[in-house]
Amino acid sequence: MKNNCVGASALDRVSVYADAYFLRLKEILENDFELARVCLGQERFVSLVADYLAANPPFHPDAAWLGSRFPRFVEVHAAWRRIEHLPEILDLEWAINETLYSPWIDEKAAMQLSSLAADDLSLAQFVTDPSVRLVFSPALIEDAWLDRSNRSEGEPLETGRDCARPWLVVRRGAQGEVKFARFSDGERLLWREIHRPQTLTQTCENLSNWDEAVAALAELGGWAQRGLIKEIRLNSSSGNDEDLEKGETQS
Amino acid sequence: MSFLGFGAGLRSPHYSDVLSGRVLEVDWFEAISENYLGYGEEPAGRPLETLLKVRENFPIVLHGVSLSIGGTDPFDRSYLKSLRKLYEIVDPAWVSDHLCWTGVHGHNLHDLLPLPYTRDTIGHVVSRIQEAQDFLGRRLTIENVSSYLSYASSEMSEWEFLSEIHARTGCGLLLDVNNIFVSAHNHAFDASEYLQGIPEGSVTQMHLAGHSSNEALLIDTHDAPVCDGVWQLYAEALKRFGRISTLIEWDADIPVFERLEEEVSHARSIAQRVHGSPILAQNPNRSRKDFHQPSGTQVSVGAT
Repeated sequence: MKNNCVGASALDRVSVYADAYFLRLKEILENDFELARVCLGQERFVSLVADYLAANPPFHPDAAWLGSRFPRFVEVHAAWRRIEHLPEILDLEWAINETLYSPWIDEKAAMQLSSLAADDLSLAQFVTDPSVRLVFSPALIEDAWLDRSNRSEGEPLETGRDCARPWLVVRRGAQGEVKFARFSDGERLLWREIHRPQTLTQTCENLSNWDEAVAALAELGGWAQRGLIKEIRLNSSSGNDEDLEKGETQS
Repeated sequence: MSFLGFGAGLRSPHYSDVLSGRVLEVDWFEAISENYLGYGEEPAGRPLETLLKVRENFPIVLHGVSLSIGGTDPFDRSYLKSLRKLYEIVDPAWVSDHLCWTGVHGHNLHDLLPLPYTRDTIGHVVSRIQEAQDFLGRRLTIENVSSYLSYASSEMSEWEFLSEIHARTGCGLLLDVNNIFVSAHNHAFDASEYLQGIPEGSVTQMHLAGHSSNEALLIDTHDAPVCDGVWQLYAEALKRFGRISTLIEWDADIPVFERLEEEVSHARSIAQRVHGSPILAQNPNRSRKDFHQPSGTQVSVGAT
């Protein structure tokens, strides 16, 4: 290495890059995992980032992928996973990141459902919102996320408010806003089932009992109203198992 | 390449200003490609939707930071496919990335690291640029980076290196005037000599930005207004290269949009001073230049 500038040693010069490396990556993770940073406090978050980057150096040309392994890293890390709700928070924040990069599909299902002939209903297949991500979290972490800018540094999440609907549904609105809903275990099963390229009759047959099938019909109408189901098709596939796996995050 | 006028880097804090519908001082925007790729097989999502809305009213240039054109790892094909798809969707005026390497052995440092300026490196970079251009189906425009170290193995100056790569690949040059200023200080070379060493007709675009300093080095932080020294060097570059699309970058401590517009306006006024007449962009997508024509002023449109 040449040293053309008086006053700057070789170490000074390399340090510019070395310092920038950590600061840049830390900033990306701070932006993508705001609630985690607030809950842990800055010092502990920086320590977590250092551990994560040591184990998971950036691998993708696009820095936006930097946090893709962050939730899994904490899940399997003996010390970090003990921090209450931290794995769920990281799952949630990565899911939010992904939903914002999902395509928007106009909502037609509610109108289609209201005009659908009864005989056709059994043949219906469903186009679901591609932005939906499911995060398993019995605690109401979405409230904390919505309130993240008002929380104090290092303030732990309140616990003991376990939700009867443990599946947190994360998706985007038309303007890129984040929307939340909750699924019970039964609703999650139905959600999985309607992703398969099959008619509603087949969906009902695949559910374990008739009660679930009847409940499913009621749910589907509600999901169409709320935009979770975007479109109803009678003759074409609505999705496949591969899409389903990509769209689900589970602690 | 068409002359787009005077632009600004498109950053999310300014989306609402850019889409407000008011007449802006900015003729065009440069967007960071990677901010719009997302995680799927094809670019999608809210950021891209916003970019396409901006595209309805302004020319867009896509500027990448991760191509690692000087790297030794094979190109990441899925990344290149996403880029190519993004180019198809956005249809930018041109696309650019940096003359640098960003990682090795599958690890990405997400920094713009300098190359050794040797004959061997030129051969390597030329072949990589040609490969990328073939895959992307676009001519690349390549930017000089600011640097804090140089290699004992270097055999030539940065401007000789850059010029040779331009000559052998036909790529355009994105001349970052601030980077020249920063590197000239850090490596004790003459910034004017740099400009004189770049062939006329090779420059597609120029960048201007602010920098900071530590005890001995200037650091390319993009967190401040353009300094006087860089404005002077910009005027010198305009004299040499003529009318060149120019863009202000501001990436940290991002100010209100009006402050960014002041910088754009200042670049325009320097260009007007150097070239002797008001300069407005040739922009078939917009009519804002009509609003900007001061009464009684002769307006020159679209010269390159």
